[in-house]
Amino acid sequence: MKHLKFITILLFFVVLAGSTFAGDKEDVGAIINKAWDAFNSKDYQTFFTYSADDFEMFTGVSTPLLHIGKPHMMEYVNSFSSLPLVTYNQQQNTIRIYNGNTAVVNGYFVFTVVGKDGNVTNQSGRNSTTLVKQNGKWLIVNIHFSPMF
Amino acid sequence: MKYFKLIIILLFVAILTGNSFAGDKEDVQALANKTAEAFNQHNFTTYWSYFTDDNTEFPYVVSPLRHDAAMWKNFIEGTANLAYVNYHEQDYEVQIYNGDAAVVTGYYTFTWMEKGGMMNFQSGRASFFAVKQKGKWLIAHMHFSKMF
Repeated sequence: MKHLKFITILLFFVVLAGSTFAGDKEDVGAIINKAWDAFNSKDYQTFFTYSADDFEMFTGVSTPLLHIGKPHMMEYVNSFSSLPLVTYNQQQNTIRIYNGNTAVVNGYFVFTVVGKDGNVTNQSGRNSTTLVKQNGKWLIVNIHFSPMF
Repeated sequence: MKYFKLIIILLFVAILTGNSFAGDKEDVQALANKTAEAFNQHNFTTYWSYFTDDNTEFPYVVSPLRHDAAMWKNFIEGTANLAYVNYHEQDYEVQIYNGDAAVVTGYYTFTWMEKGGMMNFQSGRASFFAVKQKGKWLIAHMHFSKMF
């Protein structure tokens, strides 16, 4: 009986510790999900809090050239606000952590835009996202989107 | 004259120090250049020495799917069957984070000739992520995509 109590308490702490101190992979996965949830809700101010000031991006629409700096990305993202519906869904993510402070996430996405005229366009492609831990917080520093071919 | 000598010695030391301890950006730039050079020369042993064991890639030829290290090895070493390959990248942007991670973006041209003499050309965007492991910069991920 004494052993059973001890094991139960031990198990309780193990479960608690696991929940409280989620690993870096889980943290990064959560950041990716929260960022795109914010984007899909058109809560762009929240979306921007997940990226670093020196953010860079290759998009799959608009221009093939590199977006340099967060203001450039913000201008691009804000341009979606006037559209009736814009959704981004990413799946089959692989997450790798290096040195405890950098993460590389790869996945496949579907990007859907409903224009003001009601036309729906879908784009599917590949995504590479790099995140860096700065002052204890994971921030997106680079995204490369490219269409499937 | 005494000051002149001192200035010369100081300048010499400054130049020597600069060469011996190139910054991370220069090291990562050198990694990009050496990787392309090894690929163009079909020097695969050297090429693989620039990658982490768990590297992944999104290529822009053959298949759009994510390649793991084994798939990338098959793809790269398959280019040995080509008569000629040339990968050239330019307009690099190198960002260093925490002194042990780097993101590199640029634009590339890729030219290859099949054994029958058929020439192919592709241009696009490239980004790669490198990480410093045991003091050495290694590529962990590459992503290539077309211009549009």
